[in-house]
Amino acid sequence: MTRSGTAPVAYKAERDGILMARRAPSLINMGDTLAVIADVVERLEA
Amino acid sequence: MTLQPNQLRPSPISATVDFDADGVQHGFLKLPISTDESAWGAVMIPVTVVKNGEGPTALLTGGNHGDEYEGITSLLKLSSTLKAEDVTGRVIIVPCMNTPAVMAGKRTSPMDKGNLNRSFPGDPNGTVTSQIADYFTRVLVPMSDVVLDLHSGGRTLDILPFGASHVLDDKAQQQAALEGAKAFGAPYAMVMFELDAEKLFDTACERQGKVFVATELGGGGTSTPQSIAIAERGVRNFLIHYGLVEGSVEMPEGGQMYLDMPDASCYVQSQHSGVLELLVALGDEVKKGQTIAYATI
Repeated sequence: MTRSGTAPVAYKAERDGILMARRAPSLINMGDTLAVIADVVERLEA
Repeated sequence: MTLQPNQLRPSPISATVDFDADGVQHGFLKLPISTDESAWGAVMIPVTVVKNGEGPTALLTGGNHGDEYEGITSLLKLSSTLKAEDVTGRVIIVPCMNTPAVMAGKRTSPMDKGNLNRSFPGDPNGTVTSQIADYFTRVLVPMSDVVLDLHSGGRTLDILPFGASHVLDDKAQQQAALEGAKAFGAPYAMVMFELDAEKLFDTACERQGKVFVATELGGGGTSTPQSIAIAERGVRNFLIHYGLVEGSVEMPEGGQMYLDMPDASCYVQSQHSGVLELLVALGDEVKKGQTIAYATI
């Protein structure tokens, strides 16, 4: 953003699941939550 | 009044409604403040109480964050339509918990930068936001049996629509909340892992043994016809499920998907400043190790 010729940095999922939440604004800063991945489960029990 | 050491003074907030009176009352929770604009002023938090005889008490809250509109919208509408004869017990509706933040359209309060949902249990001698938290912790939550706190993503997040509960030590309490999260009837139901639960409204309620259900219902600083419909159906379902309103719980036509968040590895957080490019959309399946976003720095 501050200089051209720099390749983008890839962010990878650390688990299987579905994209449950994403950051809305495109501008990001260090520490922002970019994505949240949740497990899909057959049953939810206490 | 003499206070013992470590004893908190009563909340400075006073209610203009009588929580023990039958019928429908609209009023305010009034917090005295003294500012440049108003030397003897007050923060006025709208509240509606709908009571009909004996029964459980449900506390319905929106606007805990001021830029999350499904709760604010659906509860303001409900406050103008719910009739006493429709209710068994008592429904307390606070559509704009952090009213200064709601009026500013922001997550936090312009009065003290306070994030209400990171201010619990609160402090009667603290900032405005902390004083609001304290009133809920020591006045409204103790008089409630079940609590529904309606959140969305706000301006900086977009989130799948779900009802959520937490993992609790008391499994009966956890089960009761989980059943409420499912009965809310959003397309998703979730057991949620919080990044830091200590100062949440959720935790303040759960530590008092209350059945607490939270939601996330979209975001981006706005609402959609779909998200409002989910919120309104969910509030009605919640009241039916816990026996405050008669009727049948309506579940989503396409069924409900269950989600779990076992630990902090669910969260992907930025280590760069730049421009975000997400490669997957909300609800898409992802695999461990898959590139899901680029940061162009």
